[in-house]
Amino acid sequence: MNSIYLVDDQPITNFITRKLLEVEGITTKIKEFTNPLIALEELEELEEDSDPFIFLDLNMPEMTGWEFLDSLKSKNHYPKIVILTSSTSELDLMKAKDYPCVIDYIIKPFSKLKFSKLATHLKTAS
Amino acid sequence: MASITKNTSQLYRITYEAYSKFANNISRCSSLKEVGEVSRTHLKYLLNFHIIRITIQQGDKYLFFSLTGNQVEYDLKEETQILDHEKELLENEIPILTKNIPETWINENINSETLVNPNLWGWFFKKNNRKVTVTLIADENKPFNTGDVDILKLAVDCFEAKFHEIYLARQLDRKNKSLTEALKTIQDKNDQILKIVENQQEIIEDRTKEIVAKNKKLLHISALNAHNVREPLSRIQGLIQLFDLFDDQQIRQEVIPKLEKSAEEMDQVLQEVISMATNELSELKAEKL
Repeated sequence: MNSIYLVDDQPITNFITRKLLEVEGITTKIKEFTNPLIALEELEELEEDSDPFIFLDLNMPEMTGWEFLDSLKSKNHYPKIVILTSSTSELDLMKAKDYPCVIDYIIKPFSKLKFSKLATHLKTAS
Repeated sequence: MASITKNTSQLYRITYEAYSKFANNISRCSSLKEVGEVSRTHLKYLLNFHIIRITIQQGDKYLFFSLTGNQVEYDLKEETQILDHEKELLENEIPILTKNIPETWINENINSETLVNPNLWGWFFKKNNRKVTVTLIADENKPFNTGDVDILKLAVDCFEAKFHEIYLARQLDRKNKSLTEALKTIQDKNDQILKIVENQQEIIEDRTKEIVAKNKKLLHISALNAHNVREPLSRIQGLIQLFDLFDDQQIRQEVIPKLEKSAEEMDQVLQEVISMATNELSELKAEKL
């Protein structure tokens, strides 16, 4: 059973996402990261077939979501990623389409309604 | 051997031949200098004279042409340059024949003491609305008679026509020159205008670049502001959703403190955004247009 990574510099956001996932019956192990660099380090140590499902914020002080994606790309590492951002910019949405491993783009706040669209992905991941 | 002066028909033929040579040569002239040269070599075969002087009105000026022996003078001058007897001719339009010689003028040209019983002949003609005076000084050594007036008139016709042609050519030349100058001025101005236009285009391009850069900056500010404000707001909205999922105890312990923290951060962000936007906007405004 693969895990779920929550990568957001705001612990409160990770808390909300975790609670929503739990309420929806996701039993997969959820790990929270407020620093994307640490998430990257842990990803490298994982075996290829145990890739986690990642919720990724875009605006983070240590490393932006884009840099996180580029770093994975440079290592030919493509876990399933959902961008979870408070940015409403069209430019960000367009840019996300350049990354094939990004399977969804969700504008915060994450909600039960938005979760239902994701459910199939999450069910297969777990 | 019969004197040639008694053979009238031969005399006419010779005079006619001399006149046609004179007229042909004059007609080929293209400058006053050439007219002077032809007069110097040919006029003496048509007429006897010590001095012959012609004035022709050209516009507001007079063309002066005088031939004294082998000395040719010509010029375009103001009316004040005309002689007293010429003024009289222009006013009265009546020919003059007088022993009263204008000494000053004569002495400027020849030694008056060499003249024997000199006469001054003066005529006024009006040719094509231009006033022409002819003055001729003759004496016993170079006699001029009434019978010579016809040939004199023919010669004057010839002169007048040529002088006017030269005058018109000069006018045309002057007008061409001023047209050429005007054309050059227009070209210069055109070049200047082109330069100004080029310069304007550069300025417009620079300004456009500036505006594009400013727009980008504004867009960036607006996107950043939207994001920064939305971030804590989205947390608040997310937390509110959790209310249904927790009991009161949990809400009070876990959710309310997070709400307070998020609301506080949102207030902070709002204040920052407002002051930053105000500063950035006033900076953008302050830059010269």
